[in-house]
Amino acid sequence: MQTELDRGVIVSGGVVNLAAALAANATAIFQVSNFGQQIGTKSFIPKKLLVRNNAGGTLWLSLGTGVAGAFADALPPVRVMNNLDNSWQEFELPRVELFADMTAFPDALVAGGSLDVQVEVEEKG
Amino acid sequence: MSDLMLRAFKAAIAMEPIVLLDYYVKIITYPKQEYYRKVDYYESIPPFQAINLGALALQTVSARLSVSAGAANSNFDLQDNEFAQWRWFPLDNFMARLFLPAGVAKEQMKFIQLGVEKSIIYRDPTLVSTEFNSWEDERPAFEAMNFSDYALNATRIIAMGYRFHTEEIDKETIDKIKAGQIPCTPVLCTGRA
Repeated sequence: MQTELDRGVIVSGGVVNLAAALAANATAIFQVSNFGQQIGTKSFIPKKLLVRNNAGGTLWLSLGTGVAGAFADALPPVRVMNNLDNSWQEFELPRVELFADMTAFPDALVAGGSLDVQVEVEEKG
Repeated sequence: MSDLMLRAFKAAIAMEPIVLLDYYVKIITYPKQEYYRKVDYYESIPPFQAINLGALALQTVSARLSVSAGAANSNFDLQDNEFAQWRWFPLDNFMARLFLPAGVAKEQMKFIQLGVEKSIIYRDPTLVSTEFNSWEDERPAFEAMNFSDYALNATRIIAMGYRFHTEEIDKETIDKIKAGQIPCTPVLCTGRA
């Protein structure tokens, strides 16, 4: 196997349920590793995104960092179809590198609906 | 790609310790100090994040630092009587310039000082051309240059290598080394301004 000096570790975040719309409700879908005793600064690159839409209506899902008024897009919002699994693979995602928790929120949700979101990342540092 | 692929440098096969157990070495530090020693043990240093010069605005150069931004100590520091052999690369997209010690440039040509970019991992995958040595806590310093048109969140350097512990040797042996009667490996632990 060829050595890849800058290759990180592939890990997945947990399944995060988003049941509230708008940036005020942006929720972390992957948290950057920042343990006080770790050596160095960690970052991560989103590689895969899987979103299950639980009767939330067709919507836009914003992906970025920060919560509420501090939210900033890291990627363009993605279109999530109602009642379907929606997935994006590595070759579809710009190789953005994040140094803070990755957060997400839907622009709108049908009452009682929600999203289950999971992201796979390459963690570097 | 195979590990048998052509390399830019003939010696770029693997990282080997510059000397072995019981070898005599001549440690050369700035300004022209020389220490004759014998290696009594060594161990490898796995790749680790040795320094992070911090966030850097677009098209700027960081302060010349021997420690990570906000840190007090250099992760390159060694115990007394130790020298280390290092290879390293920038993990983020910046150009690093190395100084050893802080006032003395490494990879210094007549007109320019060479920088090391992240592309080194493709051009010289074994990093042999980045190799340098350091003595005790006579630490290296780095500058980070953000040549890009976007800000960087971090300017991290990954380093790896070997750490060698040495012991003093008697004057008679040193005299024999100087007379060329005993082999000795010079270990340059400084830049050349």
